[in-house]
Amino acid sequence: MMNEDVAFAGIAALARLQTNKKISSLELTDLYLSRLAEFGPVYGALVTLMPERARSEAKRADRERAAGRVRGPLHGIPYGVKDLLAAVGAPTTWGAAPYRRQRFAYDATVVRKLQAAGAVLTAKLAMVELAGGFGYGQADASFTGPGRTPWNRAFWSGGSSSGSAAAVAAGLVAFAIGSETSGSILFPATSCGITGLRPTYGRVSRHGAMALCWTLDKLGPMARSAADTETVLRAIAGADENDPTAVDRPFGTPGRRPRIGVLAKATSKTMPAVKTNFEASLNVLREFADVVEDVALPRLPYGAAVETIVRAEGAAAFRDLIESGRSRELRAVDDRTGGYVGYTTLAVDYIDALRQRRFMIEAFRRAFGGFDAIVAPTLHTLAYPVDVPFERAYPKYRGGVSLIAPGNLVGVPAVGLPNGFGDNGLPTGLSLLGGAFGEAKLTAIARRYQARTAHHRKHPMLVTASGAEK
Amino acid sequence: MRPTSNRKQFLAAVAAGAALSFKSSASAEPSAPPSPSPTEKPPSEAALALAATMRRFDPKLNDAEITTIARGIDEGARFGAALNPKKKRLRNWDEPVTTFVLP
Repeated sequence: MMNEDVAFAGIAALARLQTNKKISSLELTDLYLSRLAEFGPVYGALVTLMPERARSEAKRADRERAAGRVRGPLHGIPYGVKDLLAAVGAPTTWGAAPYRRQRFAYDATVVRKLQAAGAVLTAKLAMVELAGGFGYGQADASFTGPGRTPWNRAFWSGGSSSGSAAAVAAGLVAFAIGSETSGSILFPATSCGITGLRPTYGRVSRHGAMALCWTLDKLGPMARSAADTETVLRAIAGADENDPTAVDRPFGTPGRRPRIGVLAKATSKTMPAVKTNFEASLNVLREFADVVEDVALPRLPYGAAVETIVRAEGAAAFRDLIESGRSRELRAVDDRTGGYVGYTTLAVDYIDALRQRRFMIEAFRRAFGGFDAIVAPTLHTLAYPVDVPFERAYPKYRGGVSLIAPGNLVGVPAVGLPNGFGDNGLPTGLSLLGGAFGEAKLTAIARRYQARTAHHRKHPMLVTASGAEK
Repeated sequence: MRPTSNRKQFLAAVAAGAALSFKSSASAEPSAPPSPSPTEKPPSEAALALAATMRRFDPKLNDAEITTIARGIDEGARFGAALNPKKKRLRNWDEPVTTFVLP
């Protein structure tokens, strides 16, 4: 197997290569470290390379494997984390200049669990500053600069888990951990053409992760296939005495022939390529599922609720930063003022958003309870150009129906997977939204979809810092 | 500040208290970013006044930044109205999700 093939292999294939002694964890780690160093900055994906820790963990994995101890499917597999997770050996910058020298003397629970599973931490990956909590309106919103999709550097990788998505898409890590408050896993997964899994709220401990919104934040895997995201999720899920919201719950049992609802008006304001690829995806799903058209999203004020909650909780989470006046040090112009807007959120509006949320949970159960998944395009457009403010990028395609805000408010899981390409070689994506703690049902559907398609197996032609194709 | 009964009164009260600080620092900042589009509706006076109070945290906030904050405040007021719409008011007994736990 060539280095390029190894770099883009899935977790199971990488494990087999180690089992068959074709490659050691240390060799694999060095391959990814070298790719991270070469391509990470080109795509705005890297904050800190962690060679010492990575090689130490890889050597341990190799020693244990030689002694007959294999911890599980992630044994010896290199990965990266969004730079909002605490990890010993590197700063934890939260993507923001005011925190660029911040360090923690402990590992986040997710990092600790992955270490226990034998995985190898290679890098802290770039992210939108403060995970986008202050309302950024442009791609250049991280102290490391804009994230760029490996499919076309002139376009944004999406956010806020921008580096996690780009690093997976470019074969710089085998998988990555991202976070989602409202779209931050699914959005970049789509723009970078990879698979992202947003778990149920409470499925994964957030201890050691930057808080943006306590009632919305979730950590989840980003990888090259649905199977890989499930493997990682099973390793990081579960109760944690340091996070009272984290619980142990079964993953759900997939049915033989799933019932899938198509979100009504899902393509009413989508770009042509998004619509075409979505319709083609439905045909694939019909091969193994009962697909029911026009399932309506209950009409409730999702946008107002998620904005109000993010503003209020975000301002509380970053009250020190706001009151210190150091918001001015943030990269994006909008972020320098957005915290002050959040600071003025009325308590009654925040409480009303939480009151509406109860109706949303009940309405979702009534509307979607009879389905294994609800399906819609993840984004209405292709990736945004890096150099154009978001509001000016694709004005024609704004305001369509989306599952991102509603799904996050209700706390249910979703899988985003690539389903084709559009103009400028940019990927499009499909989302499957499920019931609470029903991740295994979603990944089972996604695996069957990916067994019938090849979008997730394609990978981009990378460019070096000098602009040469590689 | 005496208790107020609704958002409009609240913002008006804040405006009365804060207008001075906004006006006194207007045009004090030499490097204002580009002005918003002329087609954009100007923010309300109340929001401008509330926005100006943020200068207690960052005295360097210029007028254009205050205007941006004020627009966000007005937008927040619209969100608030959407969350408890006049046509379908939340009722006294509609409880918030206070400890967010999935059923």
